[in-house]
Amino acid sequence: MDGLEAMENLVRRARLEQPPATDVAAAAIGRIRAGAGRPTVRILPLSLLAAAAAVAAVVVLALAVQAWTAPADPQTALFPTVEVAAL
Amino acid sequence: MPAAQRRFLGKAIQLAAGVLAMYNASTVDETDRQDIAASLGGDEAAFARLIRRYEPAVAALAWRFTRDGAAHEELVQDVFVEVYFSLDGYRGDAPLEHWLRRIATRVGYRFWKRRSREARQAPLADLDPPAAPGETDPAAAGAAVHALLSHLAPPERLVLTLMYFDDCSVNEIAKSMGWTRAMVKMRAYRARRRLKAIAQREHLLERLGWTG
Repeated sequence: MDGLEAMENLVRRARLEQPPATDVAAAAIGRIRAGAGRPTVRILPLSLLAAAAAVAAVVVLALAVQAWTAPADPQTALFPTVEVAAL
Repeated sequence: MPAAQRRFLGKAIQLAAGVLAMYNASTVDETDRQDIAASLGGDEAAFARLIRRYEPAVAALAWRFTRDGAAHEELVQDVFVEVYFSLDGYRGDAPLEHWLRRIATRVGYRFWKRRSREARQAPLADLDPPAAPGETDPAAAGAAVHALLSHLAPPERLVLTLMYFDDCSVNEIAKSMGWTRAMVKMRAYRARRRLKAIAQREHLLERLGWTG
């Protein structure tokens, strides 16, 4: 028998053990009433993140509107009027 | 009827029986359903009934995580407090006990992680029942297993505890803890290897009088 087999034999015996009885209903309900264990959400980090995202969105929107309303396609600047001059 | 059709029909009947069995197994008990609905409506008495109904199962599972009486009682309380605040997430697609066991396992695992930061390992000194393997006192055997497993890291310890005590499969552990199957297999392998080394280092067989 090696250590693992001994362990498995111990587990087989341990499974027959009766765990101690508990009576937690009153205490658990008392804690629930007191609000203990309620998942808490921390507002401040979420608010900061939301504010930063909003600022970034406004900047992007402003740039997008500016580009959209530009009188000409900005890419036209890449094609100088060389051809016209040649004619 | 040709043999192929008979085989097909037999398979179809087997499949239907399996689906029906799964459906029956996952049906939530009507009393539970009523108590859950009432608890969600704020009825404390209904939640107390739920606690009393499932407390033995949760307490038995929590006993795998700690053998300290006060910590055990607190752990069982923690489970039911968490159950209360998660009750609206219970979809009823599995028996309530399965869902409770999953929560209890996670609460117990968190407890181990907290304790492992405090580096608490149960002493192996009380491994003294020199009895034949089949005659060891269950409580002494439980204490010995607890002490040995406490030398493993929480993830490895959890995998072996669930496999040894609850006959959980790799799939069940993976689903319960949100781990991948490969991760569970690797942790089980490492846990067994470490456990073997610990048993050797601590002279487990000699202490138990099981040598020779």
